Amino acid sequence: MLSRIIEELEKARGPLNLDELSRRLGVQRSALDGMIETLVRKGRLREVELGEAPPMCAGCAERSGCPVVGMGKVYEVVRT
Amino acid sequence: MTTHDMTYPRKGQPLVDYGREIETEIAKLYDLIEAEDIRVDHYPHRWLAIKLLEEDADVRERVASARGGAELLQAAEKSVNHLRNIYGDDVDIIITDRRYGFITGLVKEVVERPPVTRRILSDRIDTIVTHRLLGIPIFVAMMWLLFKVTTDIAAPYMDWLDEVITGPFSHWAERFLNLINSPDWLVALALDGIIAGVGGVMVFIPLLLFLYFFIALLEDTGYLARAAFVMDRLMHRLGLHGKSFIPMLIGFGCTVPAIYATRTLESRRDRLLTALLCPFMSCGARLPVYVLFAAALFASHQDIVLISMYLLGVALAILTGIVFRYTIFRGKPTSPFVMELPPYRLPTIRGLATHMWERSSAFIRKAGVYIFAAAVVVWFLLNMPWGVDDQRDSWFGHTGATISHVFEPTGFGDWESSGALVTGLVAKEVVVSTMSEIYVGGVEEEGEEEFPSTPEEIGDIFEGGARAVRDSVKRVPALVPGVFQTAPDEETDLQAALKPVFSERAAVAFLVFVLLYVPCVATLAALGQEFGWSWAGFAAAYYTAVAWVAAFVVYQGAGLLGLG
Amino acid sequence: MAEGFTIALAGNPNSGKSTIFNSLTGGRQHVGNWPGKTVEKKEGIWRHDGRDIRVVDLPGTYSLAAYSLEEVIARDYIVHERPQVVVSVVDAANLERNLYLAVQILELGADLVIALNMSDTAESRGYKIDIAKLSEGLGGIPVVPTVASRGLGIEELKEKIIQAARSQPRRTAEV
Repeated sequence: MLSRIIEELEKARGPLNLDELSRRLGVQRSALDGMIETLVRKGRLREVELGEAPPMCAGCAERSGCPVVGMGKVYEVVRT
Repeated sequence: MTTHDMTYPRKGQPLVDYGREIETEIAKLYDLIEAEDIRVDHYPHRWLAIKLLEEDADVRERVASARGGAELLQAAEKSVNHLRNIYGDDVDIIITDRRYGFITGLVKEVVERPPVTRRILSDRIDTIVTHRLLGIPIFVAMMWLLFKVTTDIAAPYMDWLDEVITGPFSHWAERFLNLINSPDWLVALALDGIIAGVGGVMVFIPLLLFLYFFIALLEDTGYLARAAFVMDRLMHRLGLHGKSFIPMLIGFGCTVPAIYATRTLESRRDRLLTALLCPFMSCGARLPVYVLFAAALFASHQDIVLISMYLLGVALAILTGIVFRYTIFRGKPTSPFVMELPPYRLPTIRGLATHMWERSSAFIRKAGVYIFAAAVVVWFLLNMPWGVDDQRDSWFGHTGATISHVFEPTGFGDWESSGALVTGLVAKEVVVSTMSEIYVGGVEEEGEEEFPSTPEEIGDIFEGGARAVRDSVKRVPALVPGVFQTAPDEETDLQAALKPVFSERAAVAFLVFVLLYVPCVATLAALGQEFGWSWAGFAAAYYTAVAWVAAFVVYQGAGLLGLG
Repeated sequence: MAEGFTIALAGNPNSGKSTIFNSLTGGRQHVGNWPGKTVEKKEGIWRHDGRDIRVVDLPGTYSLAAYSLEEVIARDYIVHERPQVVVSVVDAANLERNLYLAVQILELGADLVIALNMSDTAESRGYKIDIAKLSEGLGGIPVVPTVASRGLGIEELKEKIIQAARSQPRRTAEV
């Protein structure tokens, strides 16, 4: 299962939606979350820091309207 | 098989079968534990063996302090290395994988899942809006609808605000300044410089309020995240880094934070490439320029003009990305990733209002500081050498006229446009404020006008406000094509002044140039700070060149086709 | 059955573990900390046939790896304190994720009873779970469907817990 997550990601050649991935793998979404957690812990996936605000962002006019804020979590495959 | 037998899984009848290779190593460790009678707390043997293969830190620590533990750890290490060689992966990953495999298999056996058609609604919406082929057209359609609705509904309020600023507000300011015996030049600065300039931009506040309202609506419902997802897939197809979409999305708001947001990318190459593309995303400051020209010259197709500008920006970003990737930035493929789409939800009035207010107030602050300052400076430049009669002979006029030769082939080779483009480097709204100062503020008033009385004017303001609300509400059903026609928007002074100056194709070429040329000095500063001044210089030259070429193609191309 | 035996409740966060704990113990609860840890420990008494059964609420975890303090506490308790029965509260609507913990508890050698909680939610989402097959797949352990929030299945769960405790020999010194 864990290896298939990475496989599917590599195969997708683009971002995948977690719901879509759970459908492809035939795994419940909540179980997929657990597997992704494991992969993150093992350093195979990395959570992309979306909220990481550069210093300039602090005073940014668009900060509250920053589309990134409304986004869910994003994980990317760690290449070794 | 009794319950009791199962509770202490023994060799040969474990709950989860970890596969021949791993089971062999488990058995080896199990036998060692049994043979040497190694006691580690009360851990069952098989479990202990598995945990040792998983390299569980807590268990290893306990084993180390047990009698015979060192030997066991050594054996475990050998097994782990052996298995790692076979699988080419960490053993705990394989073990976890098998455990999940067992559970998934079991669940498939015992659970009857709902048929695919019974998927929940949000899933079904997602399959449509993030569809491989439909996703992008849907996104474009949403954007178009956004601009259409905003421009239509906001127009009456903008007309009203324009009337208030150029009418009663200017009159009161003039009366007040005369009352305190201000010198003539100060009155002129206030009216022709500040009120015409800053006011010319302030007129767009209703538009931005509505725009921000609808963007907040898209955002709070969760659609915007889906749009980002779709756009990102496009970026990937084109070989750009997946995470590039984050700064690019921010770029639609403001380019400066977008450039700083590239820091989330790991390699300098990806950061730089993305940062160079960000200015192509049409930022909020460019919108007033588009709306001004669209309203003046394309009253019935404003929405088409607006969406075209945004799409052109995106298209040129993609094109630039491809060109750069094969020239300056060759490199590795990008990392795949998976993301969570936030659930759809009903937006709350409070949330929408907060978003709307924060963004609008930021715009007003910007107008109050930068655009105010720019308006004052531009006014002085328009009146230097001191007391110059014709603006064309001012410093501003001379500079503009010199530069204007460059823009003759692109259709806007007049000193006014050229000058406005230069001052627009401060911030692109300044293009509007400058033009307002030239075309509205610069007009010589003939004789002393008779102002209406103050109570009369206050009455006019309210009456105009009520009319704006009525017109705006009437436009909502009119959004559905063919329901009924509404009266065309009234023209502001500035729009009326632009009409004879620009042909349609010149106006489009001008907008294309505004879209593409150096966004603002703050953007260049951000690029310089992040990537060095030579890159900032390169970027400035590149954007200006692309802008000129694109404007040239539009103007001359339209000419050849006999348009405008 | 030995007197004053102990059962432990294990489960994922949000599996409805606390609700089950409350319906087993009623008001007879006591909250403290795990020895030497800052993690909250809840304990209660379930009075059954005039006997007091100790119910220990283990920290809510997803796994029994040693990645978090909660996980170590839960597995140490099961191994060292050897509760007669471990009740694994499993959210039926998220069966796969919840079973990951249950399977690990089984591997740890505990006598497990599964409370398949919130089975109504799972049903309303269109999942049909074959209880007998699930029990069989996990080596014949008892699986009781419950809707703890509405008190459904609690009596049967209690029955199965007692049965499981009775059917096992004392295994104090054994390893």
